[in-house]
Amino acid sequence: MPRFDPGLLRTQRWMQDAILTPGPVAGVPRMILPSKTLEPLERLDIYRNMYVARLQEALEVDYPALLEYLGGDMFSDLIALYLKHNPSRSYTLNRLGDRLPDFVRRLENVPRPGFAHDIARMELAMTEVVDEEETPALTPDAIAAVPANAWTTVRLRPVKALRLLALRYPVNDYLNAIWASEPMPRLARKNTWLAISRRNYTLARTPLTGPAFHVLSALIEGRTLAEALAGRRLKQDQLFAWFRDWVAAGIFHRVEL
Amino acid sequence: MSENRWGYPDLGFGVGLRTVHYQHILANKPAVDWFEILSENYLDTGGRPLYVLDFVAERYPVVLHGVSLSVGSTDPIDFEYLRKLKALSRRINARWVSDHLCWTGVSGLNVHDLLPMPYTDESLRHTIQRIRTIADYLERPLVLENPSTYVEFAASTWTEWDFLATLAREADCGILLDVNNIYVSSYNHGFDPDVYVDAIPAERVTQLHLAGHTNKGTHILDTHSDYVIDRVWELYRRVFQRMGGIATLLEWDESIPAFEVVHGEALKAKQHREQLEAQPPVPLVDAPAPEVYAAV
Repeated sequence: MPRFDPGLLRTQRWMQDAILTPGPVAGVPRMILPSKTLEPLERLDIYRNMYVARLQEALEVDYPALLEYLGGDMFSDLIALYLKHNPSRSYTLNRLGDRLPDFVRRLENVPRPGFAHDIARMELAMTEVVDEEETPALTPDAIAAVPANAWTTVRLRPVKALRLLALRYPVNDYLNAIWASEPMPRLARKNTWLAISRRNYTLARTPLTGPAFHVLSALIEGRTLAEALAGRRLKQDQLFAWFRDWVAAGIFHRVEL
Repeated sequence: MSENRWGYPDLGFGVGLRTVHYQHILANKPAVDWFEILSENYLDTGGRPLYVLDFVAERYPVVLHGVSLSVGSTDPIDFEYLRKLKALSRRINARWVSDHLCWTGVSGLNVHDLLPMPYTDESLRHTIQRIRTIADYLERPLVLENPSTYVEFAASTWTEWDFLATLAREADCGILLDVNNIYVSSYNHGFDPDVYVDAIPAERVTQLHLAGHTNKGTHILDTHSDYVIDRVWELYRRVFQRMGGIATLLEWDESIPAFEVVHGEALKAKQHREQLEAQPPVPLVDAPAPEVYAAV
């Protein structure tokens, strides 16, 4: 039989299509030689099988709570479908799962898609915070240097490794229960708020109250303290307690007078 | 002892830097000759991985090893990737930069696998040009590894070893000779691994890889999940006898054991070399170069 050579470009497109597309593949015996033990399609299937397995493994690392919630079979089906619609276009696997939260929300066969969506949002935020550039946290000296009468007009700039989440389900409690191997909390709908930050390369998940979330969000958007507090009835002790917690968590990077 | 084309040093016996060993390395600063890092794991992070890498690079020689260069792809070269790779290599003073003789995707996609090349004149010409372009951009020679492969294209007209040897000479690139991969591919395709080793130009070989694999009976998967088997150690000794001392790295990527176990496996290579050094030297003889591709 004459040697079949469709050229490099067509060979690579053919093989990639075969890997990305489940089901029958045309032209395998013409393209690939058999070995002593495997037929051409069996040899090609080694690459086809490894593709989904490798990428699913990467997403399991990023989304362990979603995996726990959905179970292995449903998670596998989800990832296969996700990869079909969102194949990697990057040299890195680090951001392969960036579209997974929105993808989960739109699926009809996922139980409580809102809960699954919130879990995925939280886990995506955690991976983002892990990879963010390290920026030093605000020091006590920098805080002490702010004149007392200037606090209402200062702007507090956050560290880069920070995400704030408003959630519809208590997914932080769910993740804590998984990690502690404790009974799962009720999955009933309940508004919760969360700050995910990193200090000294260690990730922290800090639960917030609704008012604290809104004040902190305003500060991070660049509003002054006075602007962030406008229209809110807050006791000074409450505000001081929040600020102390946020500084301790390393949420702020610097103060701009 | 031979010396490679660029005078890159024999760094001794290193291991791959892996996340599960970070804490051990930070706490114990183990007496390892050098580390190899997976480039893509450090290109887009400002977090703990980069902190650990800086810590390691201050204390050990480090080599960059990538999996996404896609040197054989028909897609355009990704210069944004190269820009980040170059910056990282400068940041950590990488001794050299390596990747694989493969392609990882076309049409803008990446399947994140080391896909095999058809060994044809067209592939050779195409890859040589890309290696030259990449090396010019990086301002250093590129070092390419022979991958494990599971298929052979009907279109191929070259053996892998002749293709790699010619590619290295014509593109003026280095070779990261993965001894385990030679064995894996020889099992999967039915060739003699000794012939492969003997055909590789010693002056191009900058680094060696060793690893374990998974034998499925009908084929072998390059899983980096176990100890190095005896036949691969035999090949390693053959490489040493032909080429002399070359920086050697032990890879372990699945079911990764404690750091001491991985390092201990790397140090077995040192024992093999010391045994051979105690024996009378074998003269270094390169296999004749294959016919050089005329159109390059």
